[in-house]
Amino acid sequence: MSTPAQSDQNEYTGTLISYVVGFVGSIIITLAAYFLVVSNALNTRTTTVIIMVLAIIQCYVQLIFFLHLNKSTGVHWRLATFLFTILIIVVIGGGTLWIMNDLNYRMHATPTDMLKYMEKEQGL
Amino acid sequence: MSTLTTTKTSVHHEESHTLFGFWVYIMTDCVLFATLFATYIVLQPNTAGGPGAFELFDLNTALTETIILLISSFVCGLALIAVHARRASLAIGLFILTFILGASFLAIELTEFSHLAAEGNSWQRSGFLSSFFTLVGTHGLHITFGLLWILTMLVQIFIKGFTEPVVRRLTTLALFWHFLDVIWIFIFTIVYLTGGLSS
Repeated sequence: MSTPAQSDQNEYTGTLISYVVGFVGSIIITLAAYFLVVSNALNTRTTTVIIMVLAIIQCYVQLIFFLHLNKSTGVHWRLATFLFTILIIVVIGGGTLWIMNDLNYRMHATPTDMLKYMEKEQGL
Repeated sequence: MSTLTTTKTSVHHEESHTLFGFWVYIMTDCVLFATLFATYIVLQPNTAGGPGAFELFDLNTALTETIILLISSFVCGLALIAVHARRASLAIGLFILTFILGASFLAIELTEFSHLAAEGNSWQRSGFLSSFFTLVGTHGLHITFGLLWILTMLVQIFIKGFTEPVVRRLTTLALFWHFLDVIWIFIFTIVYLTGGLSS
């Protein structure tokens, strides 16, 4: 029992290489997103899309190199629960944004307009 | 011999069950953060005439926090390798470094919070600020518990050494710490970077 030197190396632990690759990759992606925003090189919409894509890429990099999701063994339960979580997040997060945007659109009101309307109704 | 093998297999089973169970907890925590992110994005324009993300947040501070947390997550991974190689002093040193970096991150975040509150931009100012403090504060709370956990584990290493349960707890701790860094990527992007855009 006292000498399990290598035996407990499991699917949740990576190699030195994997951590270095994950770390350097994350630093590069973070700085790329930061300088893209600071430089103001592209318009707001394009920049938003690019930094969101960069965030998802960095998330993927860390899932692989830090959390070792690809080393899932057996019936891939870890991957299965992860994908189910993504589904739930898309339903809850995406659904919320969809509904709230639709609501604003149907009310023909930006939040600022809504605030003015509420102030008027309160007789302020 | 056969009894020994059976014991080892059952211990290994227990370990993989615990780690998988913790992984499922992390997944549910992802859902929690997803709802907070959705709330933040919906409430972001509702500043009630007060300052918005562009006026309030400093991108350089956020970048510093990001880099510190990233290094902390990296060092935590290295510490886990040291644990599996049974290099006790190296592992303890790396966990202490992880703790120091995590504590610096938390200190910067709390300084930012107190500056915001001192300028009258607390969570009571607007729907936008309520959702901001809830989202970033929840992450900060996780970091706080992670720091307490690191301290607890350091004590356990000193008292018990690298026994099977201690190694298992250290592995779950590393999972938790990496997960917090993944969440921070999205806080950095959605709160700070897109906040810096909307001029």
